[in-house]
Amino acid sequence: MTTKTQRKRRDPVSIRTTLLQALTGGPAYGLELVDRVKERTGGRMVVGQGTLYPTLWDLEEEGLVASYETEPLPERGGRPRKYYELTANGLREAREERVLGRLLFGVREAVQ
Amino acid sequence: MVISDVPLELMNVDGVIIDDHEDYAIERGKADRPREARTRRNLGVGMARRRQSRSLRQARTLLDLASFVLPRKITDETIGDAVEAIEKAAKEGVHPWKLQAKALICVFWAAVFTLREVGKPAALLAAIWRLLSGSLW
Repeated sequence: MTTKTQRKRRDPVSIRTTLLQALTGGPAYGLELVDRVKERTGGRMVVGQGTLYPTLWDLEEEGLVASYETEPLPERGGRPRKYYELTANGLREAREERVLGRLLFGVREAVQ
Repeated sequence: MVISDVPLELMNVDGVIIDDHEDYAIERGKADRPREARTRRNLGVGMARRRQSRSLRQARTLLDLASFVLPRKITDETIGDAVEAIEKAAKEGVHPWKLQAKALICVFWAAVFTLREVGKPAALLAAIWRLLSGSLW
């Protein structure tokens, strides 16, 4: 029996992989990540908020990403931005997934 | 033609020209007063802007209400991002109903995420209960 995470991991371009790859470009907050994925995939992949935040929270729980908050910002109605960045484990996993994706599926980097 | 030359019967109380005769369309900056004379087409643009700013206000109110009810941990991130996205979309001139739809969708997901967060300890308690009841029986 495969778990949800294992099923996700088998998919070469799952949302999890996509976000890990997108975060290799540096720390980003939710909205920025959505734009980054959209931009780097030429609009072929759009991350919805229904999957974005739970995936980020799962990745944080697994210790693959770390988060920090900024000061409250007026353009967000006085709410802070929550930035995510890859941890050492996250960076390793992102590299592995990129290599595996290329080797097993011949997938060109969907998210560079 | 400058705005002072326009007959009073062709303007409303705010000094906006209500007749759409092209002669009364004055280019921005050419009028001797800052108030710009408008054709009917320009009035339409103004109405659309007002409608959009009203939608933006409504969307923000909805999101503020949601962040009042839902946990801060979730709303700071999800609703904060939505407020930013809606402001950006409004500046790009997105249709007013889309702004409201974005706000509604965000509130929906924030509520789902809240249930997910609430469900985690409940699932843990259920697992402990199953474990305990299994060991008892």
